[in-house]
Amino acid sequence: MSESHDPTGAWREALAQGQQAFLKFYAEQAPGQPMPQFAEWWAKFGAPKTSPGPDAAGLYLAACDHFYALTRAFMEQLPKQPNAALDAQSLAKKFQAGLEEWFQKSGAPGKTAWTQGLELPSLGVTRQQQELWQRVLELTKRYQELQSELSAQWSAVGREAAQKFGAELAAASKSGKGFADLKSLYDRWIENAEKAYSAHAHQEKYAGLLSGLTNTLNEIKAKQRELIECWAQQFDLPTRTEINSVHSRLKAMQQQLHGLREKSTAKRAAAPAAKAKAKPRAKPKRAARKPARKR
Amino acid sequence: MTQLPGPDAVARELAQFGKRLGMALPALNGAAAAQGGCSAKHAVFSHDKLTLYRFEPLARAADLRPVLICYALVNRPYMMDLQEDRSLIRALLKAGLDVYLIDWGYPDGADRLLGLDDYINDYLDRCVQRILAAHDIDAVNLLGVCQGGTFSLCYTALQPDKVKNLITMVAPVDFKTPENLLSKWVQGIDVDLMTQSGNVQGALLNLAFLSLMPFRLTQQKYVGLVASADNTAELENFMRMEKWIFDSPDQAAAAFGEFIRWFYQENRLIRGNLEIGGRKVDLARITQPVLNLYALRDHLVPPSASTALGGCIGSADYSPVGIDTGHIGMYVSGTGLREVPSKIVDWLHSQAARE
Repeated sequence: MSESHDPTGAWREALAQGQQAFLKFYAEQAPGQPMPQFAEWWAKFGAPKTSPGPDAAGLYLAACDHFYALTRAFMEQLPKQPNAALDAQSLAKKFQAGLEEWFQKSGAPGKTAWTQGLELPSLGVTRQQQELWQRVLELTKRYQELQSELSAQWSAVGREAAQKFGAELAAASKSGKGFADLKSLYDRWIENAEKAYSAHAHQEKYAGLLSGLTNTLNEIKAKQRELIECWAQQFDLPTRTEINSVHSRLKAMQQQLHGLREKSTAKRAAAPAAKAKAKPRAKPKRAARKPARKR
Repeated sequence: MTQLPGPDAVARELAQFGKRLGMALPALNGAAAAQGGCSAKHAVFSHDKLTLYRFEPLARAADLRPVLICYALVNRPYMMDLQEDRSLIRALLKAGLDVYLIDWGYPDGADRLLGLDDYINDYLDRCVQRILAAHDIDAVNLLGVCQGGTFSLCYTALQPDKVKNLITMVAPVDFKTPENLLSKWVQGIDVDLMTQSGNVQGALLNLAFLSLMPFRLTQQKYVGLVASADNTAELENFMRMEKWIFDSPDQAAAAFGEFIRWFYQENRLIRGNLEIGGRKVDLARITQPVLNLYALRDHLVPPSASTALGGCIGSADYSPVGIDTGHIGMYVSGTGLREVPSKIVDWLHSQAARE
C-alpha cells in the first residue's frame, strides 16, 4: 500500500503524466505553434518549482499531505481490538485540535502573499486605481477573517445543539418516555438547534460579526463600483454617480413642482372663501354710506 | 434506556419518507401555478409605482367609514388576501366593510432617493385624500400592518384630522426591546455604506428574516411538507406562501436607510425625536381611538415592541389585543382568521356607534 503513505505523490505523478500526454497531443495538433495562455498555465500547474514564490498546486498538495497525516494519526489512535473501549470524546477533541492547526497552517501562506501585495505603495498614473485595488484586497482579507469567525460560531452552535439534544434524550430515558418515530426525534433536534442558535444569535459578539461582515461586503461593493467608474470614465460611459446626480436634480424639481401646485390649489381654494368673507364685510360699509348719500 | 424507534421501524419510516418525497416533488410542480390574491379589486389611483386598490363588495355595505390598509414595504400586500379561505380582506368584505389597499409596487434604481417623507407625507397622504374626496368625508379608518403600522402611526401623528380610527397590526413601536433579534443585528450596520450602493435587495432582507430561525425556516418546513404530499390543496397553500415569502421588493435606498437609522438604531419614534419631512412626529397627538393587534408568538415584531404603544399615544381609547399566533399567522392561521377580522369589525362598529 505504498500510495497510502504518499497519496499526494501519486496524485502529482498522475498529474505529470496527464500533462505529458496533453503536451504531446498539443504538439501533434499544432506543430511549431506557440501554446495558448491557458494551455501554458495547465502545463506548468503542479510542475516542480523553479523559482521562489507561491505555487498553487504545491500549496494545495501540501494541505492534502497535512490533512492525510492528521487523519492517519487519528486512525492510529483507534483501538485495534474490536471490543476495546472507545474514548470518543478525547478522540474527537484530538481530531478537532488537529483540524484547527491545519486550518491555521493552510491559511498562513495566503496571508503572506496578501500582506506583500498590500504593503506596496501606490505610485504613478494609475495610483488611484492601485489604491482602490489594495483596499478591495484588504477588505476581502478582512471579510474572510470574519467569515472564519462566524463559521466558528456556527460550529459552537452545532456542538451545543448536540449537547442539548443529548441531554434531552437522557432526560427522556430517565423518565421512561420514548420517541415514537424518527420525525419526532428530528423535530426535537430542530428545537434544540434553534435554542442553541438563539443563545448565540442574541449575543453582542454574533451581532458584531454579522454587522462586520455586512459592512465589509458593502465597502467592497462600493470600492468595486469606484473602480468600474474609473474605467467607465475613460470610455465616456455614464456612471452611477452621474445618474444619481440626475435623480437628485429631478427629485428637487418634482418637490418644487409639488410645492407650487399645493400653493396654487390653496390659493384657488382661498379665493372664493376670501370673496365670501369680503362681501358681508362690505355690506355694512355700503349700508353706512347710503344714508350719507341720502343726506 | 431511551426508547427509540427500532431498526425495522426506522427503515419503514425512511422508506415511507422516500416514497412521499417522490410524490411531493411532482405534486409541488403541479401546485406551482397557485397564485396569491383572490378577491376582486380595481385600481382607483396610481402615482409613480404606487397603486391604490378598492375591493369589490361581498356583502351589503355596513354603515362604516372606508378602511384604508397600509401595508409594509418589505413584502407584497397580497398576503392580506392570499386565498379564499385565508384572507383577512375577504373577511372584512364579508362584514360589509369598504376596503382600500395600498400597493407600494416594486421600487427600482430610479426610486433610490424616495425617503420616508415621500412614502408617508406624499404617497400615503395622496391615498387618504383620494378616499376622503371620493366619499366626501373628513377622516378615514386607517389599518396599518407591520412596518405599514409604524407608517400609519407617523401619519396619524402628523395628520390627526384625517384619521378617524386607527388600527395597528403587528406594528413595531419600541424598536429596542430585549427580544428583538433583528434590532440587535442592525445596531452596528453602517447604513450610509449600505445604501451607497443603491436600493437594498429584497433577497438580502429575506436572508436576514430566514436567519432569525434558520433551522425551522430552511429545513424543518420543507421536511414537514412531505407529510402533505398527497394533499393537493395543502401543497397549493404551501406554494402560495412560499411565493409570497420570497416575493420581496427591493427597498428604496433612502427610505430603508432612514427606517433602519431612525427607528431601529436610534428608536426615535418612542423617544419622541423623530422628524419626517421636517415635521416632528409626536405620538401624543394621536388622540383618536386605537386598536392595537399584536401576535403573542411574533419572532419579527415581538409583543413588547408593539405593546409599548399604549404608553406613548394621547388617546384615552386604546385597546391592545394579543392574538395567540405568530407574525404571519395573524393573516393566514386559523386563530388569526378566527379572531382578527371579528375584532376589527366589532371594534369599528362600536366606534361608529359613538360618533
